[in-house]
Amino acid sequence: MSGAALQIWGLTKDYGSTRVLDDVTLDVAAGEFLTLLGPSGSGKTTVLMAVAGFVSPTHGDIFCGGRSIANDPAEKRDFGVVFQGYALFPHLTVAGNVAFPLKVRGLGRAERDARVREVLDLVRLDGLADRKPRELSGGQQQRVALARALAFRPKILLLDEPMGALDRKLKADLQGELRRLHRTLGTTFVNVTHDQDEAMNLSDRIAIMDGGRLIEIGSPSSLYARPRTRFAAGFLGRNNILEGQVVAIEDGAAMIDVGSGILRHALDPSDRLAVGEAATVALRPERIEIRPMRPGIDTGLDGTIIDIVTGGATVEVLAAVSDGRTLWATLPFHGFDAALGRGTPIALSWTPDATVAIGGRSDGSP
Amino acid sequence: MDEHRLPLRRPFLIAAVLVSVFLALPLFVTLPVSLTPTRYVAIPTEELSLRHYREILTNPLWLRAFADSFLVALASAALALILGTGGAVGVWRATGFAVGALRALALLPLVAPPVVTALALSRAWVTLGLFDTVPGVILAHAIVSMPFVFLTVSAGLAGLDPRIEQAARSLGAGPMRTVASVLLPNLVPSMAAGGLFAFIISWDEIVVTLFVSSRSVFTLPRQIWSGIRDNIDPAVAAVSVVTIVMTVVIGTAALALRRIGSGQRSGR
Ligand SMILES: Nc1ncnc2c1ncn2[C@@H]1O[C@H](COP(=O)(O)OP(=O)(O)OP(=O)(O)O)[C@@H](O)[C@H]1O
Ligand SMILES: [Mg+2]
Repeated sequence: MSGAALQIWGLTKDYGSTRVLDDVTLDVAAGEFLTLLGPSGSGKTTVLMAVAGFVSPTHGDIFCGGRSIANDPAEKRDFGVVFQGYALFPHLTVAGNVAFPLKVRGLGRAERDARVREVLDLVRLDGLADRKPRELSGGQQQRVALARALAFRPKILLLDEPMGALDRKLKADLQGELRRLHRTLGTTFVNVTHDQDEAMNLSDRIAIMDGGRLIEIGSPSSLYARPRTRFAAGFLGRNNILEGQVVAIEDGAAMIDVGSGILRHALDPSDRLAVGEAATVALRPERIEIRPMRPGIDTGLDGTIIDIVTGGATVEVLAAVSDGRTLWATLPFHGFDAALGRGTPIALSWTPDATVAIGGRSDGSP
Repeated sequence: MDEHRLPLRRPFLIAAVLVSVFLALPLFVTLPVSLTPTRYVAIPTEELSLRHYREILTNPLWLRAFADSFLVALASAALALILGTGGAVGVWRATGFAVGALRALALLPLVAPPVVTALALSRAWVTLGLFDTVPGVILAHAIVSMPFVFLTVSAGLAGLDPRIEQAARSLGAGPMRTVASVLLPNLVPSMAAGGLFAFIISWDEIVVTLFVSSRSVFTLPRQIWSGIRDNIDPAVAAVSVVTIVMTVVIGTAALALRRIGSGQRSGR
């Protein structure tokens, strides 16, 4: 129990006969930056709003500091919330917005003013205190929303798509800002996004959601390097998914027949592969090299180039293997062989530890 | 941006002027008549006189009518403001099926033919002992003018992010405080506009008034109504001019406020 700032236990939500959250269980450690990541409609906002107190769970419970808060009204929970679209009070100035939670808590004028200045300083908005929200840019509005939610020093800050409406450049700036705030304040942050880059850049841990369920949770690097589910493998960055059958297990490796060839897959202690059974592996495009297999070191498949996309620092090659399936390979732009073109036959090779065995069933599909 | 509208501008402008003139026509008759020095209705030819204005300011019958109208208009506007604002906020918060049903219910007094409303209220007020009482007329007027408050406040709410209520709650404000310090301050212009609309609707309401009062409540329109049946007196014209001026002034203020109420947040 100790160390967990927030515990979500068996959270289920039905609207009429539609189940929008299905048994979501999740602990958030004190001081952690956790991101709920998932496609649109996966239930991220619903989880966050249940924690904030605006959605009442059909089943399940929510604990804060070991105590159930599921029946507390929103105003008693003391969580800072940054809403999608910011929901600033249009009739109040920036300072008025930030002072609102302090006024509600009965802080005296002098203390309030000092705290407002301090928080506006923290989000680098000093000088705009007397503006109305409609006189601010999107990025500035987002900072006001942050300042307002942090002004009363909540233990937990909940953020619903805080960068949703911002352009790319601004997003990058504000991501840095959020990281800095999290570092300086030590507050627990629970963030919601459908932007995988944002999730990867910001979070200590990412909880991947789909169809109202929690699919997988882990640090950005572990989820990227060793996804356990097919959904996580496909959702976080690009992955090639290869399906086949285990034909042999030897020397710490499984030989998997994928139709267009037999691959060598280095076994991980957590792999549950057995001879004769189906296996699915994920392979990151950047692990593939275009060169003949080195005997005894590499594994791979033969293919033909069907497309080449230059992306700046990297080149994306789409290749078809003998049974018609396609694989993406990402190669560094520097040193890319200009003689390669559409229709060129190539050898795609990688080391056996590049593939990750993923459970086929965890995302609900066989 | 405006250029492609230019070709149509002239005909519309002419039409607008014609309609305005047509609507203002009564004023071109009433204003001169109200200034006649004669005791009977006539267009003044030689001199102008304010005697009929003096008459309506001294005659106890007219003074009582002004007082009754003012009381009824003020009280019914206040009541309509409370009911209409409450209804609009309720519908704004509701989701799904309830929205359409509640909206239709709130607008019913506007859609139903006035005579039907009047008849229904008349029967109901007799049963409830409200017939021919000041509270009865106030309540009847409030019912008739409530939809205007409802519509104006709804327009104001349409420009508000529904999440500001949740934001206020998350910041520690209870439900009452949220309404008082977040919702209402944002609705002040729309509510003021709705209240003024309700006031002028009550000020010249006649149909429902005739059905729910007989002897003890005499609003201005009722007094005019009986005045022109007995003998036509130029004082009626003077009262009409006063009413027209009031309606124009209050109506313009209400329209201006409504613009502010639904337009102030366009920058968001
Ligand atoms: N009040 C409601 N009534 C009925 N269904 C709802 C309600 N609120 C949400 N839903 C449904 O619940 C599902 C999850 O919604 P939610 O808003 O949590 O998704 P999300 O992951 O935040 O998506 P997005 O990225 O689009 O914001 C959606 O299918 C949505 O239609
Ligand atoms: Mg959402």
